[in-house]
Amino acid sequence: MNVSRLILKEITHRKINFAMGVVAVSTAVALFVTFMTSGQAYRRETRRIMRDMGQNLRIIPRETAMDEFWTQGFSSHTMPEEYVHKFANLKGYSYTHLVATLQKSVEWQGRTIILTGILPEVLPLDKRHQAPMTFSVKPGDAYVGCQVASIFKMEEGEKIDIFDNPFTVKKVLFETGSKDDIRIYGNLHDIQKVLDLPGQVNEIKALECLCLIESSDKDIDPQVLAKEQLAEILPEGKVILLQGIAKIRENQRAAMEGYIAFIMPIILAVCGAWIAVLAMMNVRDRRQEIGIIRALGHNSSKIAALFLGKSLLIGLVGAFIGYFAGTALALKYGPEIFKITAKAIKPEYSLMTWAVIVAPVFAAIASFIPVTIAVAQDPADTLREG
Amino acid sequence: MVTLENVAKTYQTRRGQIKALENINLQIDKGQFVLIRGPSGSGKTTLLMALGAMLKPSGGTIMFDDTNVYRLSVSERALFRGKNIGFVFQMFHLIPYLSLLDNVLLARMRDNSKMDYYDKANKLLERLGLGDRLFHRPAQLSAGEKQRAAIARALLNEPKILLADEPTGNLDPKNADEVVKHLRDFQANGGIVILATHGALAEKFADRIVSLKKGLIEKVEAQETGVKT
Ligand SMILES: Nc1ncnc2c1ncn2[C@@H]1O[C@H](COP(=O)(O)OP(=O)(O)O)[C@@H](O)[C@H]1O
Ligand SMILES: [Mg+2]
Repeated sequence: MNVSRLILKEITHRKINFAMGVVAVSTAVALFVTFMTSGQAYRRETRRIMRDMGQNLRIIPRETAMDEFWTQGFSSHTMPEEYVHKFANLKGYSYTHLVATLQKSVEWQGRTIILTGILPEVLPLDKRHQAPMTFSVKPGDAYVGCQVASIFKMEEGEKIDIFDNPFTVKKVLFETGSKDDIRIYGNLHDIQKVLDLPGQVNEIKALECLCLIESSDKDIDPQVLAKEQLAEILPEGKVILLQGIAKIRENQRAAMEGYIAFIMPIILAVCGAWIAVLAMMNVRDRRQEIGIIRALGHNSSKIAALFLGKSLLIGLVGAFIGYFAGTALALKYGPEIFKITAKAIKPEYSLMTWAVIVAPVFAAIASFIPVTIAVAQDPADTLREG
Repeated sequence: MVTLENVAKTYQTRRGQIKALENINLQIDKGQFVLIRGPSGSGKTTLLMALGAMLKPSGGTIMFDDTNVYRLSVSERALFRGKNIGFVFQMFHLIPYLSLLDNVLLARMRDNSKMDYYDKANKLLERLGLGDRLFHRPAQLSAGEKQRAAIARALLNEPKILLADEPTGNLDPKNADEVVKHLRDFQANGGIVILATHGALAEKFADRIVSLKKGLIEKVEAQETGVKT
């Protein structure tokens, strides 16, 4: 009678004990696989979104002091307007909107306003362009924020004069509840003239910008790549990436992983304890069997092999069932729970290898104490009477 | 030949020591049928376990020819036990999930050839009247059949000594007789049979009757059985 045959026969005899062990292992494995599969899908999808939806870029003059930039909302330095066209003609970048502005806060008739020159949107080379992001202002026209209009009692059609430049109030804008309410918008070139900054802008916004240049190193963050490349091409500019959806997702994923990192040890502990208890019950049930095997002249390693072998098998079967169950769960419930599209979820075959190695070892370790007890048991005692 | 010299066994329990055997001196020769008799608790099982290399005495020596079994390492002792000693218990101790054949084959040692032992187990079961029950589970058998299967298992390795602890305790007289008959067959082939009982079993076949009382040998009666050929 070899050990493996003995193990198999015992398993078919005490099916419940074995099945409960398998349930424990496969539950743990399934949860783990579900989490991991969904997590991977999440990561994959985030990467895809980052690639397909792109980033919102702000290019500002290099020497801008960032503290000032963030408090003021725009740079007090400028950079060449031609950067817009340089950027627009770059190969390997695509965007949906490209807007250049020149902004400056000025004292005008005793009040502070922000003069904002807008360059008509530069259309992307490809056909991704949708509706324009902002209005464009014709030369000689001015769009005024509602605060400015109310302070100076401006009405549409009125002629105004900004530092000796005539403008016609084309439109009074609705209240936005932001800085925009104290702006006067004009055509970029008009405003350049007003501010005496010909050919200068202080911000270029590229929305949903894609960096299509693939790095040979796949792990390099496309954002980092874009930043580096643009720094070379636009030496007087610097790039700020707005936290886009990708970043938000990345944070969500990190939160999810934190949660998994918290819950997984608990699952493992419960599963381990469960296996230990089952093994202990099994050892108690088989006291006389252990005794008789000893009496027949087999040594303790055979006893240990009998129980450890069973645990390994529980781990192995549990790993397989758990892997498939976990993958199925991820496919079925992943999209709901983890907010990913079903398409992104793929079976993670590498997890199977892991499960098949780790689960049996784990089960064997969990049953270590019961096995020790089985081996240490005095056979004379169990065989004594009934 | 088995020699016991000053064998003693004291169990250590939480409530103190229990002297189960004391000052046991005994010599058993090849081909002898020895009856260990005594009331319950007199130390019969303890003595059999000590004889079976299963329970280390707290004092004295037990020699099997020139081998002091308790001087062997644990695994050497296990091997010695497997090769030289067969056990038959009151409760049979068959493994419930194995067929009779597998139960018998469980006694096969690692270094024994599989096919030979398969044949051997087959023949043994046949000889014990279980030829048509090879693939039955213990639960499907009567008590007498179970005990015969247990005897087959004890005999598989052709031991020199058969230790039987109340082997008929759960059997009716007819089956008890049959078990005793098989033990005597073993003796007839030159084996030592040591049978422990609290009753009057097999008295007339015993070469020697050792009476135990509270762990001490009360008396040893030798008798001419006239059964030996
Ligand atoms: N493992 C043990 N621990 C403590 N006491 C024991 C143990 N086994 C047996 N005994 C005691 O040793 C004595 C002899 O027991 P045993 O050998 O089983 O006698 P018998 O087989 O003649 O009934 C009894 O008093 C019994 O209670
Ligand atoms: Mg007894």
